[in-house]
Amino acid sequence: MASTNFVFAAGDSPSGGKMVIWTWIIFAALFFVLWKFAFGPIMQGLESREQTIRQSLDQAEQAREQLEQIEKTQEELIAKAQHDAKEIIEEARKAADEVSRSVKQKANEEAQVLIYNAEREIQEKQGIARLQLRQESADLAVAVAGKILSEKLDDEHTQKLTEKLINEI
Amino acid sequence: MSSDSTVVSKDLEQEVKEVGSAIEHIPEEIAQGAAHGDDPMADVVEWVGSHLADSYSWHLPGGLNIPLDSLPMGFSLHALMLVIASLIISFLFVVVYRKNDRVPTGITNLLETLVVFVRDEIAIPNVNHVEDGKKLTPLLCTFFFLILTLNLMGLIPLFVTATANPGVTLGLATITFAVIVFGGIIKSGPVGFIKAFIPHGVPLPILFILTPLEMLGVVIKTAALTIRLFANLLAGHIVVYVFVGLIVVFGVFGTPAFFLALGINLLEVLVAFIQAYVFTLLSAMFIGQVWHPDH
Repeated sequence: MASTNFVFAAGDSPSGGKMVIWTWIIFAALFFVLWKFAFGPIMQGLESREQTIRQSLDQAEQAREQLEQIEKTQEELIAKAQHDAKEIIEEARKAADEVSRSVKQKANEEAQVLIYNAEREIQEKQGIARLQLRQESADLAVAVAGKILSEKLDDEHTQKLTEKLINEI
Repeated sequence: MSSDSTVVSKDLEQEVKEVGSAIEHIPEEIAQGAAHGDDPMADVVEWVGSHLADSYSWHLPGGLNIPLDSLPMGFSLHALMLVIASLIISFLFVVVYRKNDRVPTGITNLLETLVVFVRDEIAIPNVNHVEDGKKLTPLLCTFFFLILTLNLMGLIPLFVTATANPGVTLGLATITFAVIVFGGIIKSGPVGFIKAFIPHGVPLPILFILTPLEMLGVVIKTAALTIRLFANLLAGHIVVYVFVGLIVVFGVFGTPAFFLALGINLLEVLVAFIQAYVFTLLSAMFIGQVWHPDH
């Protein structure tokens, strides 16, 4: 019966043995073509792309680390700047206090000097005024006394007497 | 008996006309066979056989018949299928596959996924060596894509299944055998090659029995590769054809078999991928066992 052994090519069907050889030939040809024009370049392409991806990932990681570093230094700089600013303000305040204090002191001293000078001047003027007052009052007294004594005394004599009186007073 | 069978065959012709539109040209052939045969079952069996066996002509729809018997060296229909499959694969990989794209898209992406799968899931882990796995990837990819294409072609009505031919699968398996033996000798030298077959931690006298057995194992593995592939493909196709044949044998009552045939055919799609994967995987494992033994 042809039906039971159809698998192994009975009768005028082609033989399996020749098929083995044809398989070798066709497989070899296909393998050569694919290896030369397809899988060779494809495998290389895959390798190089995998390498590129790996490198890109590494670079991304590095970039991330750098960014972190930069952010860190940035924060440090900002903190330092804030600290410096605080210090500068503090110093400025101190300096201003110093200046105001010294200005006040100087003003005080000058005022004191002015007051002292003024007092002295007042005293001087007082002295002069008193002297003048005394002289005038002496003259006045002499004139009054002369009028009272009705011109018995000459002027020269009167002058001497008056001076003597003033000095005694 | 003979009068019964003429009744049956007349009934048959009627049934065949009813389901004929659904199943293309198959019923006419069977009707012809049944007209001069006396047993529809035997005709179905012969029909199944003639559709699975290799031949020297390619029957195409519309009565077109391409003769191949004038070609040299017994070039047959299955050899033609191998050539067509090779051309399809070459076209896909050499012409369609854009190798210079930095980001693969479309068919390139699909093919690349399969190539990477063969490299990373089959070749490297099973050959047990990264460099050799990469070197063997083109060979294993050729196995995978050729077997897959042949299996899938067998599911397309125009073509026949070359991988259901033991001659083809023996041809493929002997290539694995050659890679195991000659590759092993070239890689580790004749002494190292023999050492790969000597099991570890076994007393000396037993080694005289085990080492030849291990060597025989390579031949057995090759035979297993041969039989596994062709038997799986052949069995699936026989089941599909037999279910279609049931429609002929049982007439109208056999029509549910059409859906069974459809179901099996869908299963065959799965089998096409699985068997291509299994052949490639086992080839990689067998090569790895001899090239890079565990001890």
